Amino acid sequence: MMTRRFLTIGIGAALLSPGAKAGSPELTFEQLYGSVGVLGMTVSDRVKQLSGRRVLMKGFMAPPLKAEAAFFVLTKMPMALCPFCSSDADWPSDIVVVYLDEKQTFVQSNATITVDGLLEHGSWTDPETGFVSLLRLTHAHFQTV
Amino acid sequence: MTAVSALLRDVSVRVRGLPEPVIDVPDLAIATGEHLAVTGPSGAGKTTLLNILTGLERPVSGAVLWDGIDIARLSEAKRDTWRAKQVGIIMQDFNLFPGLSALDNVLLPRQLRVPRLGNDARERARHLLEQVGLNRHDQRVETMSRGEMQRVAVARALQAQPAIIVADEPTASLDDTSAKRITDLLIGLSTSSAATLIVVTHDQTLARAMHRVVSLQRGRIVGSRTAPT
Amino acid sequence: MIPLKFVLVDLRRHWVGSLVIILLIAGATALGVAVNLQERALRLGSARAAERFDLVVGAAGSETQLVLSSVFLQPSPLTLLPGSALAKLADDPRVAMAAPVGFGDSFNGLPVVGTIAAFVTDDGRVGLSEGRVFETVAEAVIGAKVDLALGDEVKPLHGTAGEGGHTHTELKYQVVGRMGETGTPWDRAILVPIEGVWRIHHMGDGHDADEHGHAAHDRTGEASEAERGPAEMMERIGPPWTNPQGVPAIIVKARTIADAYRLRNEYRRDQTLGVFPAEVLTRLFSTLGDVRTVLAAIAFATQGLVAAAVILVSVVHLAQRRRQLAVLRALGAPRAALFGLVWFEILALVVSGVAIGVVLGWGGAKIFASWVSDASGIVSPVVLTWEDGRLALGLLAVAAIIAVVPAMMAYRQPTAIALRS
Repeated sequence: MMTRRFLTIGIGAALLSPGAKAGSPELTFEQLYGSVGVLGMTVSDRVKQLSGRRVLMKGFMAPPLKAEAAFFVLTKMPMALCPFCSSDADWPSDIVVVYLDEKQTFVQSNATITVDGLLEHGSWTDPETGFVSLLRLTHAHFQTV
Repeated sequence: MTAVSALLRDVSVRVRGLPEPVIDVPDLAIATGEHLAVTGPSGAGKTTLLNILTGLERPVSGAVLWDGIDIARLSEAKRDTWRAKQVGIIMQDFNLFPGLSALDNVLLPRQLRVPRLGNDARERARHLLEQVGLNRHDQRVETMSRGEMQRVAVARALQAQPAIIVADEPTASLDDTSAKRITDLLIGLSTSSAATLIVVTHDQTLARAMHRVVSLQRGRIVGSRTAPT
Repeated sequence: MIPLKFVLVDLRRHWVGSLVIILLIAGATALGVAVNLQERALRLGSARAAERFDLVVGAAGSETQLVLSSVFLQPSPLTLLPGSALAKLADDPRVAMAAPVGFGDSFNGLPVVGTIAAFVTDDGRVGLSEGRVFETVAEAVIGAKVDLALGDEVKPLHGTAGEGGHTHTELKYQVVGRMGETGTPWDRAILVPIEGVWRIHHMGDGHDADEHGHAAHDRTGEASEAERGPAEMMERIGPPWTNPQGVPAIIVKARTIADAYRLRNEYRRDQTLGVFPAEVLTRLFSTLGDVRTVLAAIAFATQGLVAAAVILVSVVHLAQRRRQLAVLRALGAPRAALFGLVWFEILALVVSGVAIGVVLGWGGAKIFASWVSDASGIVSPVVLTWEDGRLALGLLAVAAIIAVVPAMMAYRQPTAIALRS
């Protein structure tokens, strides 16, 4: 009986969670920023349009900034092992901060990961770490491809 | 001896490796309320006959009719149910469960069958213990004398108000005084509840107190005598 | 349906066997639970100990050594970074705080670490539990677990006594504050102004003499300690430095996440090494994870053996109970009740065993964690989570299934033997 209740809750949560919806639109790193103007980079129309919705992004997990955290940085290139990718020319157009629901420690792999999260843009200060980020995926889940 | 309660017809039980059947009873009728003793030397098949009569064992062939129901043809579960309702069994070495009180021992078979014991079941168990002359219902059975233990077993057998009471050598491991008391209890209680009583025994005193004595030898009924009343 | 009293009496009657089964199960469970708990505790403990250290910049060399020395205060010989790196980082607009850490000295076996006041309070985010932050070069703040009182004097020793170090007589510090507990090796450290460390090692103090209005004296400050009077102990400390000296490591707090990554990349070339302690830890975690996988496999195999032993014991035990079961049925118990009885008794043993095992495993992990904490200063949080619950529930589920085997034997027990004496 207990099992059945857990199952029901589980299914209910899965149905309610927007993440379970297959077919969230995919967003690529190239689509993040529009023009690089005098005021710096501005986010693209696509980002503005998808903002507040769940999107899929593919990339690599950057070396974690915090060992136990609810966030990690998604990069276009596998930074952890590629010494040639460490050029700073592309920062920050090639990173997105991904916030998970729970704090965790990470397993760094050099495989591509797919992240499914709620797209948010605009400057926001993480109250816990004090870090400012411009583009975020929140309530995210990720998996190795 | 009016209504026929049990009827054994062409019953035979065989054991692999033995040429002769262990039990071969073409015809045996037991009347309702009859007190029947089964005697005979060891190995005559007395216990097997009891097993057949109570449905603990199924004969290879033949019918075991109790009030018209052939228990040899009932499914295992149905025979269990039938036995639980109709039969009270008393064994030579009591088979009480140590660690439990006299009262809990009497109630155990019923507890294993029903989801919850009613108060009436408890009342009946206490009443039966009084009837067999036991007042300390919470006494653990392993602290009792053998005679007292067998009296608890008698109370347990009667808990479900059975129509048939079966006793396998009920007095064999008791001293004379206790044996006498058990004999009196068995006869008195089965008479007052109009139950059919079947005992397997070597004890002549017990056998003589029955209405009829049947002798078994190598699985066959070789003699039957009715007590002079 | 199955009277609990009967089950209890039955188990008590076979108490030796029951106890052995419970202990076997408890042992196997404890092993599995302890491995999980301990791995998690070490992982979270070290992750939390590194919480305040976003980016460490040191001289080119081993990342692991740099992190172990600066975050976990494990002594190791590090090359000094030039003072210019400190000045550059302190002025960088992307940097919220650049704190030098200068280690190498000790007092009563406790590391004496030179840094800046802002690092002690994490730039004002955390308060002290007692006293105040150091304001002059001759003042010190102690970690929460340092056995000193405010007002005590600290005379640093070069190296540690065990290494045959010598006491610096040039400078002694007075304890003016105590930090709150952090559960990190820093709880056992003595924090002093970096200028003090520089001065003790006969380097400059990072501030030009004219800055203090003592133009009459030397410029480098190098040969000046002996000549300086007490008044000069009141000199200004902390950034900005006009002439910073070399430091083994700099702890950097970036303003944004992107800045943190950018700084890491910028300082990862030629002479310097920028590293997130988290990345080093994550690599260690994956090794730790491998170790856990091996230990978990051993624990799992143990659980399998115990399961086999339990089946064996219950089958043997059941063979001895055939008569009892037959009698119960002769007395009117249905087969389902006998199945339930045997199944329930085995499960009762397993539940007790697993429960005791979880407690034992938790206790064992606690003891190990406190030993780790004594040895390293890292407080490892031993916490039970859903994962352990799942492990325990999994064991119970497996037990519930394998208990069906003996229960089925009880179900099929023939009744004919009941009357045979």
